[in-house]
Amino acid sequence: MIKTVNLTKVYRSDEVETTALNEVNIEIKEGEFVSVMGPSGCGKSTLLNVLGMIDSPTAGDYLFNDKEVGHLSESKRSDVRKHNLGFVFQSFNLIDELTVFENVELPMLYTKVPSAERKTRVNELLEGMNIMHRRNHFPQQLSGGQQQRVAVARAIVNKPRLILADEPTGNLDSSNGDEVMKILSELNAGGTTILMVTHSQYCAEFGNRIIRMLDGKVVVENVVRQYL
Amino acid sequence: MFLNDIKVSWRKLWLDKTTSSIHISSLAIGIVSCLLIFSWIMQQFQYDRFHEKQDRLFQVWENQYYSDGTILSVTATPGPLKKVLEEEMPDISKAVRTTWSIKKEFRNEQFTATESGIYADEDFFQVFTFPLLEGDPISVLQQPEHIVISQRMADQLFPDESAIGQSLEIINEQPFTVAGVMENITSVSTLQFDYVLPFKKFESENDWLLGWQNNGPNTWVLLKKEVDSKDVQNKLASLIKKDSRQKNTELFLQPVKDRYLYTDYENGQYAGGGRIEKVKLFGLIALLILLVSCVNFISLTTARASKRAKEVGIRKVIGASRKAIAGQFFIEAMLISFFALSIGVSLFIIFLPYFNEATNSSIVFSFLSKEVGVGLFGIFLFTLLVAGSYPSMLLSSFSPLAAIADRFQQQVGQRWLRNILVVGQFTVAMVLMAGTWIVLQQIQFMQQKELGFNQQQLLYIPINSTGLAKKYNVLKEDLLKIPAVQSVSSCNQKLNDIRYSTSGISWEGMPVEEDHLFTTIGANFDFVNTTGLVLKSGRDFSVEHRADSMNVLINEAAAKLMKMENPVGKSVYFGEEPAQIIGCVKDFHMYSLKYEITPAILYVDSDLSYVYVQVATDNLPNTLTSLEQTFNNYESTIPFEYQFADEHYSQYYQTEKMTSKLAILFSILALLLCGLGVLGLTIFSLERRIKEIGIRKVLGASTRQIVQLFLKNILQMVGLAFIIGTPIAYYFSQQWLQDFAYRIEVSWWIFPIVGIIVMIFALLTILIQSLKAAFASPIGALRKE
Repeated sequence: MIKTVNLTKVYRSDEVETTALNEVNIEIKEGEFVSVMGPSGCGKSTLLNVLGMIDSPTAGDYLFNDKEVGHLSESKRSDVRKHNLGFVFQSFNLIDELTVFENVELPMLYTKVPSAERKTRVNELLEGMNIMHRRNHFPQQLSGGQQQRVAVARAIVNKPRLILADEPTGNLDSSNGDEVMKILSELNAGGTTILMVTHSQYCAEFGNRIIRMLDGKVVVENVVRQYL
Repeated sequence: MFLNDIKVSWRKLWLDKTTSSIHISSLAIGIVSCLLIFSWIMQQFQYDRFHEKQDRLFQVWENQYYSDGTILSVTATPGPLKKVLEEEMPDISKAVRTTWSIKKEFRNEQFTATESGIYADEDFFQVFTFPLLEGDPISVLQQPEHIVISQRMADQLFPDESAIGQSLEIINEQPFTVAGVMENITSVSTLQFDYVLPFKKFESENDWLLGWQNNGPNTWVLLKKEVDSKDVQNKLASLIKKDSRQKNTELFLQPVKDRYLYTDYENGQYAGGGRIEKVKLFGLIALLILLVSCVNFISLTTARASKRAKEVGIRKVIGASRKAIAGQFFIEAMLISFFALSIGVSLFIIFLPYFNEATNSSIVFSFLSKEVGVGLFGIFLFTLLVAGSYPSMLLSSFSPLAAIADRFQQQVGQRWLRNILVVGQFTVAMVLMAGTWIVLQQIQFMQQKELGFNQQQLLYIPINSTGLAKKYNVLKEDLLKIPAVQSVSSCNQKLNDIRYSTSGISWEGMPVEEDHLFTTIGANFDFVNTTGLVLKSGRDFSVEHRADSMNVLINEAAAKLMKMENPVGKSVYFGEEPAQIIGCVKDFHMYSLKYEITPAILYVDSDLSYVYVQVATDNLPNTLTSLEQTFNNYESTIPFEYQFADEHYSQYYQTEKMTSKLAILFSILALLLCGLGVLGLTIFSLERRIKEIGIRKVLGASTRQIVQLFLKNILQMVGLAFIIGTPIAYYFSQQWLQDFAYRIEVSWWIFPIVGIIVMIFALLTILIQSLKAAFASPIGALRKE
């Protein structure tokens, strides 16, 4: 599904040049659950942003489903993103002015899903996440765990092929964190590919492969359990 | 998606009430200003444009050429012109003459009324669109004893019956028969009258109308269909010179529909001034105010961009296109504009009566009017496009990465743009305020200027239609018996509204080929004493010198023109008739201060239109009562009327007073808008710098030092606005003052004082907010971060 060839990302300001990714070569197969780990500043979030097509590489290639997407324009990347990817963030990134229902529904508005279908799908997901009773509440009225479940529901509402999660349990206590990891595992068991950035070895072992980075390079890749 | 955007936009407005209130009230102020001014402008463009044949209807003007190079453009035309136009200009369908407005006293068996009206030729109602409710427009003015009256007059004099065929007496004239009743004249007509009498009646009583030597009535022409007015103009120009009718004059046409707005002619050409300039000026001011309010919106929205950046980033990550994001912000702007429009319209309806009073207008607002609908839509669209476009484009351009990574920073370009916008707002406010101050100074100057005669103690009492002229000498004796009456004389005009002039005057030593225009004043004995004119040399007209009925007084301007250093004892000639100069008065203002003092000749006239009475100003009510009683002894059926000369004088400046009232209003609005803008930016700036303030306080910053952080930027912007605004204000005020022959010198200190006022206002606006921040606990600010 994902292949990078000498993927490089350099940030330049007036006086400082920072190489966040330095000729990274990775492959992620469909159905895998890959965790990316490393110390702060190693480039893992940058890798996630580039693979999530939120950012574009400075050099190198990024192939998604065998198509080069690294150098597409923002509007074309947006198109690929909304049909194929889902995102889960550490700080949830829900929109405060929208209710739980409306937050989950939002991606389907951009893919022009008809109203009746949107309603059915969102209600199903909210039931599945055990948050239906809060559908008309606003994010600031929910606990952290509830907000992250809503964020996960939003990430999967368009049935994406790949979910990118950036420290999904970073702002949660262990119980809520476990719950979120369980949801991600279930999604992966159902066939959804997951790429997760995490500091937590415990969370990383929910996946089947760990990529470790240091100073913008991949240094180690561990298989946690064989993909069947 | 559209409904979703509306829903989200509404929630955003509701959740951030402070910012929303500032946005909406700022736009509402701009909109109500626009609505008031544009409805006034629309009314200005309605004047004289209701005539069905307006595209073919013209007024005839005359350019008079004098040997000193002056060209005087006048609407008074010779009496015989109408017939010549109809006979010698085949492109003209009809020509009609009208007189100036004349007051007459009417009575029937039960009622009396004093009304103003005109004499007009019999085709009047076929050329102009003044609908008749009763009577035939073709025949109503054919008979010299016919009269047409307004509906209002008919209701007053014949309340219980039809007025048609009824007899109506005019005091000191023959009875007339009501042949027609017309609709009350619309307020948007420059011709205002309540009765119309046949012009042939006027002609039969005024022989001077038969010759070409005198001008008097207005002449109007209706062109035939499909005729090009330019062709008619070319043929018309020299018509009056033919057969020695009038030398040194030319005729030209002005469309009747332009009569109200395009009024200033100089040296034979339309000078580009007149009411149309006021219309353009106020239109520009209204647009500026609306622009300033839109600038507030743009400024505040872009300042708060960082608060929206994260939301934009999330939406883009989820899959929103730039177009979808821009559309969302545009809908937000639309919602705000809609609320602002609703509030603006409500304020407009509330303030319209006061606006009408201040501007002497009669604007009526109706939602059903097509013009109103188009106007409201236009203002809404303008506001939406100006206020909504840039923020939508800017906010939708944010990269999803910067937002997600929480690394959003205001681009330097955006800060500069915002500063430029705020400086622009303050510049507009300062220019308006300085301009207003100068207008007020000029009005004060005009009201307080010595006019060269004693207008505070001088009363005009009209006696033109009363028959009292024949009893003037006896009346004068009785008036002088009233203790407060100091002097009595008479005149054919009001001294500060002189309209008569003549050429053809000569004097010894005058070059033969020259011809000059002199203002003429038909006065009476004791004229100088009564009016308070100042004699430079010689003496007043006096009953002790019976020959004074053939003598004249002149003013300094006339003496200068005639190059007479000692004019007393010299002669001037009216044609062949000599008249000795018995005195020279110091120059005095005969019209508004917009016009230079012209050479004037005063003579003793038996045509008395006004009795002049000089009164002591203490115990005026009693004096006026005594005057009324004395007049009623001579004529009890006609209401006693009077006017102080200074009251009449103040009417000249109604337009300027209206200008000043509007200018004050707009200056306040512009300043208010600046204040709202600055307030919004300050609130936002405080939110953004809350952590910085907390750290500074922990490190030991005093309250004063915290407050200075916010004041410094505002002071710089106000200072820059002062530097830019001062020359602009100076230039425009000089342009406006050029309209006045007598005007103030613009005082330099106005501009710094205006600058200080604006600065104090801006500082006070932000002081409360910045003090709040300065007094807040630093721990709270740091914990929040």
